[in-house]
Amino acid sequence: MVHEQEQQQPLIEVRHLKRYFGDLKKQPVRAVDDVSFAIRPGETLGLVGESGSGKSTLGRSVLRLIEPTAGQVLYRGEDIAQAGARRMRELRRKLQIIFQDPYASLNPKMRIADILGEALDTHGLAKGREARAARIAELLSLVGLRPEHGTRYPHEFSGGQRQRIGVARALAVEPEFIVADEPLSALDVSIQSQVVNLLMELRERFKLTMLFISHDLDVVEYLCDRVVVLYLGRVMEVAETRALYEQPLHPYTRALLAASPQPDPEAPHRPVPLQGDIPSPINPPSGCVFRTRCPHAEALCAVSVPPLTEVRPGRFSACWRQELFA
Amino acid sequence: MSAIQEPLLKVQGLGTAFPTHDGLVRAVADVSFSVQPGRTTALVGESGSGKSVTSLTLMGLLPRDADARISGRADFRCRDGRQVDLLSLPPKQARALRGNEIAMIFQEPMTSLNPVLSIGEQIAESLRLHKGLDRAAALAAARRMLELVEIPAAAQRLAEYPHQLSGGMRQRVMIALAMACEPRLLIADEPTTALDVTIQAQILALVGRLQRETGMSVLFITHNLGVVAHHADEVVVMYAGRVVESAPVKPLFAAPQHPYTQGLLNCLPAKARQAPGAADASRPRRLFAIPGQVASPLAPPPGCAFEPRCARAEARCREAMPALASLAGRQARCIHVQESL
Repeated sequence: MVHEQEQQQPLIEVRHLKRYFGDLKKQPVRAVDDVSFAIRPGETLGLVGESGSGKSTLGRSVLRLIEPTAGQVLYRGEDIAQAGARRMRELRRKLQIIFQDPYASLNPKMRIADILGEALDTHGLAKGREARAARIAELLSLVGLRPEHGTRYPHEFSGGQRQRIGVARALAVEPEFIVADEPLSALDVSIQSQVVNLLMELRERFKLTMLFISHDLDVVEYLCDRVVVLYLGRVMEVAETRALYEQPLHPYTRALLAASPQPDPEAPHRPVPLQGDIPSPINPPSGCVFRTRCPHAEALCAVSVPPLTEVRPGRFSACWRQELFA
Repeated sequence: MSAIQEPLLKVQGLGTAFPTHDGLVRAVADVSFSVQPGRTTALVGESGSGKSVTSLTLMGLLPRDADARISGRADFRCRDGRQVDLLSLPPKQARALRGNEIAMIFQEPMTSLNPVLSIGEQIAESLRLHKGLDRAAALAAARRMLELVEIPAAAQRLAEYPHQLSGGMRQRVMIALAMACEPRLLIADEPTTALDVTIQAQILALVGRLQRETGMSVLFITHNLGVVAHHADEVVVMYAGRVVESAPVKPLFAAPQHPYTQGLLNCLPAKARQAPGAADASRPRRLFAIPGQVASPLAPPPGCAFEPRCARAEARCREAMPALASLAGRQARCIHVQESL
C-alpha cells in the first residue's frame, strides 16, 4: 500500500505484523494486530497513541526484542523475523533502541565507560585498549558529556544526562536505524528540549532513520516527517506530519489533537473530545476498534474492520465514515 | 476584582528544610502566594522546584522522621470564619481540617487508594469521621459522590477494589473521596500526569465543573504549562525551592518576566511552531533550550539560583539572591526585572 509513491526502497518495512500475548487458542491479548508501514532511509516516523495502544510492543517487535506472532519485518528487503541467531547479531549492529526510563535501562553496577565499551566489544568494534578508550571518549563528547564522566556510575547522573548515555550506547555501534521508545517522557521540560536538539543533531550527522514512539503530540510534530496513529493495536491513520496536524482525517486522531492542551491561555477552550477509557485488548470491540468511543459510529462500524485506505495521495485512514472528514 | 476579596489561603515566607548527613537541605524557602475563593492558583515547576514539598507542608503530610524544619505562616479561612495558621496548627485540629475543609488528590491514584478496602468504604470512612454519619448513611452518600464524579454504575462500583478500575476511574474515585466533605480548598498535586491526554481532558473538565458547582478553590500543582494555560487563574512559577515569578495567567503567558519562565515557555515545541518563520522551514530548527541543570540543593549557587543557566547572568547576579519585586499584580525575582519596573 505504501510503496507506489516511493522511488526509494524503504529501509524498514513492516507487513501485517501481529503480536499476541497469552494462549493463542483461547483469548489472547491482541497487543499489535495486523500493522503495516514502511520507513524510508533518513526518515523519522512518529508512532503515537494512548497507553495500551501497542506502541512499545510494536517498537520492540520491529527490532525482534519481542518475537512477532505473525507478519514480516523487512530490513533492506531481508525478513529479520526469519534471521538465524548469527545473522541477527550482525543485524543488531544496524538496529538499535533508546529506552524510555534512563533509570532502569543502565546497569547500576557498571561504570559508564564499561556500559559503552560492552556495546563495542559485543560487535568487535574499536579493538585494542587505546582505540576502545578513544572511541568511548568520542561517544561521550558526541552526546555532550565529558570523557572523565566515563569513570562514573549511572547514579551519579541526572535523568537528562542518563538519557544522553542511553543515546551514546545506541550510537556506539554506528546503527542505521534507531527505535526511540518515549525517550523524553521521564525528563523535565527544560531538559527535554536539550535531548530533542541532541537527537536532531545526531540524526542529521549520521543520516539516521528513526521510529520515534511518543505520546507527546507536540514533540512528534516537531521531530517527525510522517506519523502513524495507533489505537488498540491497529493503525488508524498514516500521513505526513504537517498534513496530519493541519487536517486529521480519522476521528481518533482528531480527538487526540483536540485533547492535547496548548500552552496558550487565549486559545479557544475545546470540549472534552472523548468519553470513557480505551477498551481491553483481550476482548476488543468488533469491527472498528475505536467505534465504542467514536462520536460518529454507526451500525456498519460494528460489523467489519475498516481497511486502511489511501484517501488522498500519501494519506491513509481506516474509517468507515471517512466521507465526513475528507 | 478578585484582589479586593480576602484570600482563602495566604502563604507568607514558607520555608521547609530537611537535615541530612550532608547538611541542611533547604527544599523550599521564602515562598509566598495566595489562593482566592473559588479560583485556581497553579504552582508550576520542574522536578526539584519544591512545588510538592510546598503542598505537603501545607497539608502537614511530611513524614515525621523527615524532621522537617518549617518556617513562615499559611493563613486559612475556615468555614466558620476563623482564621488558622496551617503551619502551627496542633495535630488534632489539623486532622479535623484535613480531608474536611482542605482535601488533596495525588499523582498516582493507585498508590494513594487503599488496595484492601472497597471504594465505598474508603469514601464512607471520611464521611463517618468528619460528618458523623452512620455506616448506611455514609455508604449512601458515597454512592452519590461516585455519581457526582460521573462513574457509571456507581452502585456496583461501591463494592469494587482499586485494582479493578482503570487509571482514569481511580482518579475519579480520588476526586470523589476528596469532595466527600465539600472542601473549601482542593490541593491537586499533578493529578493528571499519569493519565493519557484524552483521560486528562476528562478529569480536568470534571474538576472544573465541581469547582463551579461548589465554589471551592483549587491549588493546582503541575509541570504541564498547557494544563496551566487553560485551568489556572493565577500562576506561581517555582525554581530551586523559591518563587521566581507569579502573575495572573494571561499576562504570564503573554509577557513572562523572569528569564526562567521565558526559557520554559520558549523550549516548548508548541511555542517554537508559532515563532515567526517557523512554518516555512522544511525541517524544524533547533528548539530553544535552557542549558545545564538545576544545582544541587546541597550546594546552591551564592546568588540567584538560576544564574548558572541564565543567558542574562552577570557578576551582580552572583552576589546575592534577588528579592521578589512586585508591580501591578505580578512579581518576579530577578535584578533585570527590578530595573525595568
